[in-house]
Amino acid sequence: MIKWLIDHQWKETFRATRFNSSTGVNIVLGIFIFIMMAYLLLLGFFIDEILKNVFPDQDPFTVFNSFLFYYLGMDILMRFFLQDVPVLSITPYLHLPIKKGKMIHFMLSKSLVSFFNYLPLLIFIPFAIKVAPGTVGSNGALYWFLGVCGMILFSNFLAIHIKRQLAGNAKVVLIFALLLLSLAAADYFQLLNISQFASATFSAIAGNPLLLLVILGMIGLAYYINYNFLKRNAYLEEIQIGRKKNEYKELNTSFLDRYGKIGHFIALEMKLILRNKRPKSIFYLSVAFLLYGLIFYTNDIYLEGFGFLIFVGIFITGIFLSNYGQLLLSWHSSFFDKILSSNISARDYLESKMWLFVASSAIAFVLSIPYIYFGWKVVIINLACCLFNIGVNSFTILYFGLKNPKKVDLSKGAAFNYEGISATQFILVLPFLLGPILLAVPFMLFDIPWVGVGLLATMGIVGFILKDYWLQLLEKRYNNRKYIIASGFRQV
Amino acid sequence: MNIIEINDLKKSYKEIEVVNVPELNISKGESFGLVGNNGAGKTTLFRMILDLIRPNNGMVKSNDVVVSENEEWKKYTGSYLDEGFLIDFLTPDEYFNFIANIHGLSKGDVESFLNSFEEVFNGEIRGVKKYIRDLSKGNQKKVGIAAALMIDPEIIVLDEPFANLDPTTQIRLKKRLLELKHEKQVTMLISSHDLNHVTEVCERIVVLEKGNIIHDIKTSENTLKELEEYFTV
Repeated sequence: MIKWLIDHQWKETFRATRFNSSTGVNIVLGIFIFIMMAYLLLLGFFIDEILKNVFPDQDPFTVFNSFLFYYLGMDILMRFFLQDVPVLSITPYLHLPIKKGKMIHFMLSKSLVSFFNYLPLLIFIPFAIKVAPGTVGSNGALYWFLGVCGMILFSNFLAIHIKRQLAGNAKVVLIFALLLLSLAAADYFQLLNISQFASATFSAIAGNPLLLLVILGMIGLAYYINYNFLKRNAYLEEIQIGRKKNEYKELNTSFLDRYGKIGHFIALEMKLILRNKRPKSIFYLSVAFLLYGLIFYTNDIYLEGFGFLIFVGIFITGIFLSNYGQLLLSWHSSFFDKILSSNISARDYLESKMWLFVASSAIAFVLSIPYIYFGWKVVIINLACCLFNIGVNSFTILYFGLKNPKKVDLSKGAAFNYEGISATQFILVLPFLLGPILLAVPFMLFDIPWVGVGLLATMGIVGFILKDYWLQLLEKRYNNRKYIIASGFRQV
Repeated sequence: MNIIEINDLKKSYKEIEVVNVPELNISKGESFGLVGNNGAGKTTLFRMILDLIRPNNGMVKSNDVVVSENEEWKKYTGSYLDEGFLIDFLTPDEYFNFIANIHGLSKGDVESFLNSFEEVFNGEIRGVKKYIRDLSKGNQKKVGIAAALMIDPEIIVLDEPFANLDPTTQIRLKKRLLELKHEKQVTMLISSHDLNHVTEVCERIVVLEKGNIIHDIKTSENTLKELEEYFTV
């Protein structure tokens, strides 16, 4: 039986759309993952040197251990955001003569495959080989390593249980993060001594392998809690794995009514963004990126130049435009046939998208005005970038967005989700971010940077004045491509 | 007068012909039923009529205008083919309002139409605080069909309107369609696997097989029998 389940899982994974996305994307992703792993491995090999530099008069092994409870906290937090709760779409099996317990065991073991369980080993293994034996001997190093592995497994089962219980409730995560921060603060001001407790715990494990049994017991308990919960709730209406129903949220968009069809489409788009997981996370991400300026503006080196400020300006006022816009039509993939056969012209449809972009850029700029604290320069550059985003980048995104959109599932999260992304989107980011800087650089070299900023603003304004011309071009392109796009969306 | 004219329409995927209709005219006010087994090309034909698929050859004219060249037909054509027509993160009411706004209907018209549909909705559609994606298949279909009929169309295109609906709703919907036919002379294009329903609603039945029209009959008392004979192979 288990053999069949494994077989089905395998098929489900490899037949998922994400594996069928273009090779280009897979290669780029592969390179990213490889680089990340290489960094972790390097960190694992040289972390003792780093620790020796930062804490010169302490033993690196002890210092490393003192961070481990915080690591555990961060690990749980990260899993909470990024790790998928293991689901075996249990529904099609429930009516078959398979023991529920067996399926649940299988489902839980599946979570062990998650790369969150293996990634930290890239640090821990080199550390266990290179540093730990020096302090606790080779047997001690082995026990220590097993203890750390146990901690990772414990974190795995704990995190998935919490996540399942809370169904991704962001508030709880925030509270947990704040708790972690305040513990760290208490530690720092020596009210509590978590770091010392952590280092004592792990030193003890290295010295006494019997303590590993305690960790084993903790893992067992976490597993049992998971198992018990699932077993009791393995009924169709209770388990609701995969797609949970969202409460209806009223959204008042009547202020858009006076803009006619275009207004109704923008209202639709707002509902789409706020009621579906993936666009919603993009939206929140864009809001969070408004703070991006703080990294650069607080540093005088960046503040004196122009290049970084332009980069930040484009980013702040255009992050939503680029992230949301790159999947322009894909967001509508599940009802594109209705759009095509409804009484809305291609022109109005595209124009509504354009206004959404314009509004998002303008709003982002307005929200960034408090950066005036760092001087007028910042605000003026942001304004120029905002105009450039409105008049140039929004049309560029519209143009490329019509190239080859893929179907996306609105209900999936945004993290590590590359569904609908093809090479176009990667390439698109380059002119989007680098274009304005390249335009301004020559003026910076001739020491007349404000002219460059003026150029960006002017291009934006001129681009926007010519909007009817661009929209006409886009309309032609849309009409040409709509059948191909629609048929792509229909393929499940 | 022909409201829909199809000329030399062909569509094939990878050399396999799915639709090949040399000529098909549907006159104004006619109720046209399309039957055929799975894969006969019914949905593909409807999609080409709605300009959702580009034919390899030929064209579809609606009111003498080629559908792929002018979007005028969208104003008087109500259609529901599948869930791809539903915006599933809206509540039914929001969806109806959206469609109404796009078609420039007044609030009063919408309200009176939806009230008249209440016997089909059975209290499960209007005012519910649920998104369309969380409705049952049958209720989703009711939303789609109601939205298609709401715009006061001259042409209605429905793919399998009776499937997934409970018997009571099937009968009510049928009654509704017959009313539209008799009172407003609406042209109807309906595909169905249910030979009973389709012969009751439609005065003309076309049988499609592998993309070709093999029967084109005016409905009479014998039609149902003829069709049953054809499909009993």
